[in-house]
Amino acid sequence: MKRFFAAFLLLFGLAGCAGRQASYTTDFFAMDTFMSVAVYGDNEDSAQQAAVACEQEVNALEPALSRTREDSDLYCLNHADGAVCQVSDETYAAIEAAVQYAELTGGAFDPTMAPLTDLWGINTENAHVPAQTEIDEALTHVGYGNIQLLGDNQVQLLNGAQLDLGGIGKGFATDAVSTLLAQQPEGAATGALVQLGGNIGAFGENPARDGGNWVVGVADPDNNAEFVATVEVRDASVVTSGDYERYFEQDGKRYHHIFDPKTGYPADTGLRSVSVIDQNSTRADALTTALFVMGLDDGLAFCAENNIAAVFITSDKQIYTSDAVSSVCTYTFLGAEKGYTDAQ
Amino acid sequence: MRSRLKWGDFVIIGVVLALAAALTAVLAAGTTGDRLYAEVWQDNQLVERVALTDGTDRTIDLDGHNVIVLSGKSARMESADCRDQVCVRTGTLTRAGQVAVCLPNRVVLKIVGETGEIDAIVS
Amino acid sequence: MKAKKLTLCGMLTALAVVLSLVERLFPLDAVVPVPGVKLGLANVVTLFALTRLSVRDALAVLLCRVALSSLLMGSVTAFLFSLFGGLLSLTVMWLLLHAEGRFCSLLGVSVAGAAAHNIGQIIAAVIWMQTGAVVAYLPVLLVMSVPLGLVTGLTCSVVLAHLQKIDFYV
Repeated sequence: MKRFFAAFLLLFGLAGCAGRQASYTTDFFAMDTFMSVAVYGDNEDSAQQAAVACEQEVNALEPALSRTREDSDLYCLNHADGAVCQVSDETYAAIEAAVQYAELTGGAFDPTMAPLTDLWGINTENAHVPAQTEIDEALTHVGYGNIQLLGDNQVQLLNGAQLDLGGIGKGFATDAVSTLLAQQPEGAATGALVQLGGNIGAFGENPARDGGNWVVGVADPDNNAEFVATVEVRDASVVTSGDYERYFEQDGKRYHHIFDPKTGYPADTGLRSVSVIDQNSTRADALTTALFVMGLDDGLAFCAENNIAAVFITSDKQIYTSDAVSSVCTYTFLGAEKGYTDAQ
Repeated sequence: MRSRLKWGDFVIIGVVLALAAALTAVLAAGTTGDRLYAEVWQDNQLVERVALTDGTDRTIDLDGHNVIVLSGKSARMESADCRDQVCVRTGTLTRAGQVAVCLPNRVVLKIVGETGEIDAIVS
Repeated sequence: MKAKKLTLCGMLTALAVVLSLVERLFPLDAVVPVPGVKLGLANVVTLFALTRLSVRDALAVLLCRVALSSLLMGSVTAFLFSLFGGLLSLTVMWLLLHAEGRFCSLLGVSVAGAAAHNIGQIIAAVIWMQTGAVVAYLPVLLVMSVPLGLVTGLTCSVVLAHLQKIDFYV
C-alpha cells in the first residue's frame, strides 16, 4: 500500500512540474522605433539569453540598414557620388531583397524614395508641401533601376539616387531574429513574440492560449490603441502600413508618409491601412507599402495573382481581405462597433 | 430502506447549494478585478508600475516632458512636449498588450496583465 | 470468507469501470469544457463498498477503478481528476456514514460524496492546469451533484434493501 501511494505521489510531482513556462521580455529603442521581444521557454535564464541575443542582433543590424548614421554603409553609398561602394553582407542582402520586391511590385515599393521624403520633411520641424518643380526634380532621382548590384558586395547608385532601406529594415531585422530564435538550444525559446515597431513576428507556441497561437489585433486607423480585426497566427509575421502614424497637416489637408513613386505625393488611394501576413517579414514589410500605393482594386488583384494575405482598411470604413488570408491565419472581424463594415 | 430523508439530508443539500451560490458570488466579484497594470518606462528603466482598478486616479508627470493619466482601468498619454505627438494620438489604453510610445523622449506607456483578447496590436 | 470478499471487490471494480465508461456518454463537455472532468457515477460503487465492506476495501476498489479506467481510455488528466475526486468523495462519505441513520440518510451521504467528488476534480484541475480559472465551473458542478447524488444514493439504498432480502453478507 505504501509503495502504491509513493507511486501516486511521484505522478503528482511530475504533473505539477509539467506545463510551467518561463518568460523574459526585453524592451528597447532601435531603428528609430520602440521594440519589444518576449521569449517563452522552459526556464527563465535561457529565455533571457535568447531575448537578449535578439536585442543584440537588432542592434548589430542597425548600422547595416541605417542611412542616417555616418558610419553606416548606406551613408557611404549615398555620399559616393555614383562611385562603386563595398558594403557588408547584411547590407548587400537587404538591398538585394529591396530590389527584388521593387521588381515584384512594379516599383510600387521603391527603396530610392529618400530624396522625396527628405523634401517633404515628414516628421521634422519643417514638414511642408514642396513646390511642384521641387517634386519633379526629386522624382528624376527616384527609381530602383538606378541601383546596380555588381556582385561581391559591390553596389553603385546611378542618377544621383539615394537608397533608404527603412521600408524593409524592420522586416529584415524580424527575419534575422526569427532565424536566431530557431537556432536557440532545445527548449530555450519554445515561443516568442517580437514587436519591432510596426512589424510583429509570432513564433513557436504561445503558452498563454489554448492551441498555442498568437492573436494579433489589426489597429483601428482612427484610434490605433484599438483594433478592428484580429488574426490568429503562428510562425508568421504581421506588418501594417497606415497613413495615421506619421503625418502633418497643412491648409486643413493631411499629408502622410507613404509616397507614390509615380506622383511624388502621398499615395491618395482611399486606403487608411494595409496589413500583410507572411512568413517572410521583409516581404511583408515591402508589400504593405506597395499595396497601399497600389490602392484597393489593384492591390487585391496583385494579392490574388501572387497569393498574398492582406487586410485593407479603406477611408470609408470598409475592411477587405485577400483570398489568401483564410489559408494563412484565422481572421476575425471585430470592427462593427467602431463603425467598420466587413466587405467580404 | 435507508433512503428515508432525514433533516440532515436537507442540511447537506443546502450546504452544497449554498457553496455553489457563494462561489458564484465570489467569482463574479473577482472577474471585475482582473489584474491589469500600467507600466511607465523611460530610457529602458521602469519608472512606475501601477495596478489599474476601478478607483485608480493618478497623474504621472515626467519632468513636464510627458504627462500620463491613469484613470480607472485605463491609461493614456495626456501630453508630450515632442514634435510628432504619436503617443498622445495613440489614445486610451485599456487592454493588456497595448502600448503608447513617445520615441523622441524614449518614454513607453504599456498595459500588462492577464492574457486578454489579443497578444499584440500591429499598427 | 476471504475469497468471497476478494471476488466481491473484483466485481465492484469491474462495475465501477463500466460505470466510468458509461459516464463518457454524457456530453458534460458542453457545460464544463475541461477535458477529463466526469459526473462521478462510479461513486455509487464506493458508497456501496463503504456500507457493506470496510474503508480499506473501498479504497482498494477506488484505486483499482481509477487506474483501470485511466488505462482503458485515458489521459493523465482524467486519471488525476478521478483520483482526486474519488479520494475526497470517499473520505467525506466515510465520515458522514458514521452519522447516517441519525443525522441523515444514504441520500445525504451520496449528495455530499458527489459534491466532494466535483470539488476534488476541480482541485486537481487547478493544480494540473496551474490556473484558478477552472474554479468557475465548480458552481455548475455542485448544483449538478445534488440530483446526481440523490440518484446514486437511491440506487445504493435500493440495492442494499434487496441484498438484505437475500440475506447477503460478507
